[in-house]
Amino acid sequence: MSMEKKYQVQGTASTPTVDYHVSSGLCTIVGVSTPVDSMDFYHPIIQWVVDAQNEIVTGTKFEFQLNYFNSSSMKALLWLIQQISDLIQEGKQWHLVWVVLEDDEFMLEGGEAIQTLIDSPMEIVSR
Amino acid sequence: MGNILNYSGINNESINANLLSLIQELSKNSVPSKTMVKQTIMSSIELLDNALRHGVSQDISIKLELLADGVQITVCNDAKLPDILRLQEIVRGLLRMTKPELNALYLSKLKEGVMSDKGGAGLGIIQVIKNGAKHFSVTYENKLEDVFRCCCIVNFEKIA
Repeated sequence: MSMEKKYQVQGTASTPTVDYHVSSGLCTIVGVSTPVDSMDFYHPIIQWVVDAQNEIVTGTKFEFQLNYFNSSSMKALLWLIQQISDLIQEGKQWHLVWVVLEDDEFMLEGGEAIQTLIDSPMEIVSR
Repeated sequence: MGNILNYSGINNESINANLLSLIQELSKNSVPSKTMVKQTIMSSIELLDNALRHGVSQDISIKLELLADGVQITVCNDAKLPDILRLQEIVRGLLRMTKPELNALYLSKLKEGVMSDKGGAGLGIIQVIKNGAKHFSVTYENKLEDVFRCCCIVNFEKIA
């Protein structure tokens, strides 16, 4: 079975826009994340990263920019970020970036919580 | 002072998303500080999720009120009594915790907790109290036979 080069989902009122591509060097999740069952949404992304790991180019940044998220999404995001972090620990030269908009303390707290729970560095940047 | 939003009717995942967009817009224009806007939205998200996951019907109501000393969020839904009593107990326990204890519990549930079959991570109520809820009560009254109307009432203090 051939591996898909990209995983893209258009955002909705309750789910973020996902733009993951093996060769773009930048994989982003941007928007609002409040689905009631967040694993339904995030599990295919985790699966794509696992399947595409050998195709995703060196130096790729995985950026997360969530304006609003529910706690169920926070858990699912941690699983996704943990998966990426584990692959970084195994030697992938990728970067994790958590974007905080306008000094939003809730987004900052979310990023800091994830930072304490993963083994790879995740940069928190303000925009 | 007065109501920012007073919705009563059907809820499902799609209406939930629209309600949250509406709350976002309304609170931006009426809640006095950026932190309070965020508290209101993030807590409404969790309370509505909770109502969707644990309600026994799609009949919900949500009221956002701007008070002299802050904001009050009231979310009501139909539920079974054991679920309501369990929620009351959880809220009581969390309200007794210090901020560092809440943070430690949140991190441990985030890392180790499992997702429920309803998609919940067991973090929502912790999140609301961590957001700075000054008051959180759970009330109920019998509606019919074994169905009860459960209301979660949460207050946030005014932040300049």
